[in-house]
Amino acid sequence: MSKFAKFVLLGLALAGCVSAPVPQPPQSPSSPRLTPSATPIELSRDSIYHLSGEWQDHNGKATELRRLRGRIRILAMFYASCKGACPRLIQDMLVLEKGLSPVARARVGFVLVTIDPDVDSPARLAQVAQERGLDLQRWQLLRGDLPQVQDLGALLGFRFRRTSATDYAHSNLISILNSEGELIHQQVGLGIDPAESLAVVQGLLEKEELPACCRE
Amino acid sequence: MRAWLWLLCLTGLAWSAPGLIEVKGGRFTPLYSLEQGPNQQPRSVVVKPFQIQSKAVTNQDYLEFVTENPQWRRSRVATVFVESNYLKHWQSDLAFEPGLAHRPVVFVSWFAARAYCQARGLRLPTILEWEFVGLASERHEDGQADRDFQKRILDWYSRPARLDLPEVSDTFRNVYGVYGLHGVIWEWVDDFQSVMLSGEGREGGGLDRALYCAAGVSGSANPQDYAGYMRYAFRSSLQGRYCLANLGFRCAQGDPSTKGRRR
Repeated sequence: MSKFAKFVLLGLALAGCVSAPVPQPPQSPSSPRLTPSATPIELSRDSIYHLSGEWQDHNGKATELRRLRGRIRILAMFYASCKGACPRLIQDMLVLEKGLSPVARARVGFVLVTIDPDVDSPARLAQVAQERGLDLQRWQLLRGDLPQVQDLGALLGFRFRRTSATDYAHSNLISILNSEGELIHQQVGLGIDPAESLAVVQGLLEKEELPACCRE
Repeated sequence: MRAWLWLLCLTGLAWSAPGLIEVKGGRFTPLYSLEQGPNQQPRSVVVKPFQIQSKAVTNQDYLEFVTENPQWRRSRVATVFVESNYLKHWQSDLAFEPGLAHRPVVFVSWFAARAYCQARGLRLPTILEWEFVGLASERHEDGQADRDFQKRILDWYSRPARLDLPEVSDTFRNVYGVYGLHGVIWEWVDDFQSVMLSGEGREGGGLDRALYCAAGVSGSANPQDYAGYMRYAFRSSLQGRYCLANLGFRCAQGDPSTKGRRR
């Protein structure tokens, strides 16, 4: 028994050496200004949009993460047949959406990425959007091949594994990304008070230039 | 004629470079399984045939990769994929002390390891593949019953991490001909992020709980397998960007999909 305890401790010590909390929110460098005519400015080295690869949206249209650039994004990973946590997670995102002022809301995009790409076809994602009453002006639901999903999960500190033919155990994380795609804040768990996340989004909105679309 | 010879030579090189060993796979009960049966006991799983590199990727191997792929050089890499100590033991983008050439590359993140394997037409091994080939002792494919072998693994794990890593061929060689799976470095696996020792991740916030109260052992196949438990605990503590002094990798090949079945 004591030997066992020793090894648990050792494991703990090892875990302790490397256990940093969720990825450190990078200190955002002076965010590049978005000017309509300028050639694309090089992506920040801390941007998760460095992940290449093709994704499909809920319309079946091909897209890339890079195209999420230029707007603050509130992003979560989920799967459609999840009965317990995911509806609550989406509900938490809807609470954030509702908590923003109309002006702020127009400058923020919401993204759901499925971790079950073999099952969650674009049509199924569209169905989720409809069932949950997601405003597709602002919301995007994405599917990509598993290696890409794993990449994105690893960037966000999102852990998941299959527990049966239809179910997954997974982290509950809502990530707030600035318009460069840098991870600024994460809301961990379900039913969390939205105040902190809303303050983060508000702070980002004040810091970032208005996108070209919304000036004047 | 000469062109043909060149081509033959080149393809020969491309094939021999990865140093892949065939592992025919089989059924085993991992410490933790993707699918759990009643009482949260892991079910036995079938590991399909796969190939795995006989030796860990060396600094020399990795140098070739960053030479061909400048976006993975220390000075240019996207910091979202690596911690600031990426390749910290190298002198510069393309240089390290000559003595390091045949020692395992460390201070590489999961993203970097994955990109390396992909560039070679390979992938990282899955946890199940790694654990399966890791069962083997010098003489037996399943070394679990070999007490002496198990004791040596434990001794390795209980020693402090070595900073002067041995050359990859100067390490323990198992019956498949795979070197240094135990006792040298920890190794990245493709699906490290699937390790959640508390099982019920959906409730959130409790992912690391198992690490702090040893509850993780209750869902495992063999509570006596301390070394296995440590590997899982270590994987559960990793983030994809981490670059550590004793964490390297090797690549694999083959269709990894496995099916969990009741015994």
